[in-house]
Amino acid sequence: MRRTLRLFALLFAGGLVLVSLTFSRTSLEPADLTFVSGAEPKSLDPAIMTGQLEGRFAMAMFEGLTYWEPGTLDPLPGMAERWETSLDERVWTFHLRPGAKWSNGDPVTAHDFHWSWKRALSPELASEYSYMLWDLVGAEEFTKGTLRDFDQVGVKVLDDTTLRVTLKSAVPYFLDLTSFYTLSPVHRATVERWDADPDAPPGAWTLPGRVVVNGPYLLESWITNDRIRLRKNPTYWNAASIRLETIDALSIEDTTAALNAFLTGEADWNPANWANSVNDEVRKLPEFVSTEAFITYYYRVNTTRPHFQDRRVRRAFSLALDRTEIVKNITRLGETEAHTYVPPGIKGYEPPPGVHHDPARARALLAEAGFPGGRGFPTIEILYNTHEGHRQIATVIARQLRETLGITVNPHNQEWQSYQADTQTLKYDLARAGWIGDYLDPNTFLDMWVTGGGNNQTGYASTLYDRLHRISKDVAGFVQSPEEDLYAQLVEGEALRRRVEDARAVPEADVAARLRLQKPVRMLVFREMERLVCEIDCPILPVYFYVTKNLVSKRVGGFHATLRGPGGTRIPNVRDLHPLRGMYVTPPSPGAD
Amino acid sequence: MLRFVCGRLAWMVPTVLVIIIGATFLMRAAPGSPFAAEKVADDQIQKQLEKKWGLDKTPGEWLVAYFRGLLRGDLGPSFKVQGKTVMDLLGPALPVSLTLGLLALFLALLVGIPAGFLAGLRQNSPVDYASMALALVGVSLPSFVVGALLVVFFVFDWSLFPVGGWGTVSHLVLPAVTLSAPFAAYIARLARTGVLEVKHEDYIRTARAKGLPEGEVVLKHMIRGAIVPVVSYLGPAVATILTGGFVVEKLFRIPGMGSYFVTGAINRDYTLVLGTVILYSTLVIFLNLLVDVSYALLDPRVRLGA
Repeated sequence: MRRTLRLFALLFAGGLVLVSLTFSRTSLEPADLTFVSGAEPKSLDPAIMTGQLEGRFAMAMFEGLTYWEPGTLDPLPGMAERWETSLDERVWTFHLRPGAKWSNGDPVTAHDFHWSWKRALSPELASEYSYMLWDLVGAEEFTKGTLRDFDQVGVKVLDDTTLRVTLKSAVPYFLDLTSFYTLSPVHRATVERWDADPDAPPGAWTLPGRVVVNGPYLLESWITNDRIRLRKNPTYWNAASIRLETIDALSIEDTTAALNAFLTGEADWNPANWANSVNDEVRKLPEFVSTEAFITYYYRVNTTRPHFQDRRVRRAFSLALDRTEIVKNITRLGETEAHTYVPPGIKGYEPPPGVHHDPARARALLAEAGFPGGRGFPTIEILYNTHEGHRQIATVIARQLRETLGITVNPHNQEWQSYQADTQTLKYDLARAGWIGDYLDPNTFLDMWVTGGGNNQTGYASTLYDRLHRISKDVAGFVQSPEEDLYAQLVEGEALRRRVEDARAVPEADVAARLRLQKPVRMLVFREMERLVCEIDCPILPVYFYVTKNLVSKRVGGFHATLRGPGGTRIPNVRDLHPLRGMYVTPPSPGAD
Repeated sequence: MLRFVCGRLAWMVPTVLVIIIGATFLMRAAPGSPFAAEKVADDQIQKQLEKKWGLDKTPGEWLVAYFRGLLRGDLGPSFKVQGKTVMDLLGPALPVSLTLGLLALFLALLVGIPAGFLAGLRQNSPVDYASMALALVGVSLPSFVVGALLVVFFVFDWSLFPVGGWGTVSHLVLPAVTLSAPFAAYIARLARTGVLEVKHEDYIRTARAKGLPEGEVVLKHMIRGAIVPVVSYLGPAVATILTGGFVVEKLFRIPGMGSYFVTGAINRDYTLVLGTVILYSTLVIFLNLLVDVSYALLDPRVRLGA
């Protein structure tokens, strides 16, 4: 017995040693601002990352030619101090800020951008967001390996501080792209030093102590499953505007733990990391803020299934959905019914009327297609990834389809990976989906439905859609030589014709005026594309538009749920972008300046 | 004894190898991949990505490369926390889980054994009923319920402890109690069974007959026999408790091993899955060996290597 006791004492002593070991590693003073980051970032390499969670770190650590002003999300001069464009807005010349430095003291030069963009586009890096740069001449070809000579890609170093960018055609949102993390520069010597190390894993250069940054914050530490700490970068050109000395990003995947961290005051900001089941309680908290989001919840229809090949059937399905019931009874955070696919909030874009709940018309269409009252229609499944919210919506939609159309629909859940594999290989009837827009332009929602597109995943193939898509990529070319037979195939063909003729009436030499008049043409083309997927061909059933959800402590300043618009208006921050650089706390924590 | 231990340790290597091979094929057969994403990248990029991470190889080829790394002590890079190696992830997490696990184990034994003994010695008494009823609750309540209840009372109602995280002793209390509860309950039931079994054995009667005071009968003779079921349970239990309860670590935000077992599999982070498999299987094999050795120490009738 004594021996057993001695063993116990030994174990306990060993335990104490362990405790002191692990504690010394993680005992940190609380940061000036702490927020719930969510899962572990998949990468801190701005050229590799694709998620919003990762993007927060990238925008704190790196700065592109421009950056988003937190209160308006307008692009402001960042590494580029000023720029000019050619009349047709295809050639951009950026003048870099003299005195902009990397955190190790090296100057930030045009060569850094040239090398970083080449890296992001290179096939070897296999960046999933390389397409953010594909508006540059030759960029897509370079990524796909059909162009080997990078000198032919539209980015040139004129001298150490001058960078010239040549685009395939005018891109109205190009300065949004230069503010986006994929286009950030990275520190060449550091990246090459770690890439050359055969024992280092890919991305080893992004770890604390190694990574060299040019943005407002340094990466101080990264303790997996605990937190990432950022510290103000004293060498940042605009360090005077940065008001927080330290920021902690808590890595919490469990939604209960994440909510608890906010409720106990440990975290000052929780971006939507809580279970849907507590939405009703959370929305009553004074710290809850919410606005429209640039995200759509929708169902894909597998158009290759025999019974879904007839578009009247798909349309009947879309008309049978009562979206109001879903937003009123299930989501309940102020989401709006989606009658179309592109969420509202894009300047200059007027969506088509879309699809509205119409049971009688739905039944008529289904009967026309040969299934009166649902007779003869096979039992189908709704595929969704395992999640309580998706289950509830699938159940309601299954019931609505049964009651309206007389079709038996069974919800069927799968874990995330299997669900994705089955969606991508078209092993489903109806599948739940969501899409987050990358930039404020209809293209980010509409270029996915082209025939054979990787994100199409419905089997939808329409020559008309593909044709419109091609025109949307080259409006200038279309205005130059319009395709007369197109107008008759469109719902608003005559309106489009008028717009095209307006643009053509301007002399070709007046590039700027032409460019201005081409913009509405482009938007009308998108409107027709959206009509096809939402009203006519219906390879998708839009369900609702998300809202942004944040819990923000009253001590946090510089968090903008709505943005300052022109003339003192407020516009919702639909992309839910909250750059850390603009945040502060009141009263300021001691030690912060 | 030494030969027995060495022999068992030698068997460990092929056992773990077989487990790795089995796990690899199962893993690669599962749908999805570490790079499956809702936004599908261009085909060519997807192919490049697979090439960059060695997934264009067949599972067999991949395993050969993996074993080569293993010989150098390299568990490979994580697919889903890029920049870190599996070592970088598991290395700091292991001591955290061990700390919490040891504490929970200690608590479980401290509560479970005396409770079980008392219940066994006073069979069918109120003490017995009370401790067995408690044990039933402990075994049946899942840790997310126990943990959540503890949080409600000790964090939100009385604010005695932090709600989660790691760094001070007070961070340890709630998770350790939650983690230990089912183990304490099970140990109590096993200890009780053990006592009931040996209570009426001849050697106990002999001990009493030669006039030993009751306390010494229990501590010197009864405990050795009665503790055997507990010890055989401890092998797998210790492996489980030391590698961290997934639920407890999530709920209390412990930067331990537990989450890697689950997120590794969900994310198809192949190398991380293998890392956890290797660690866990080695631990189980090793602890089972310890259990067998301790039988010999506890029960004079057991001889190892025979």
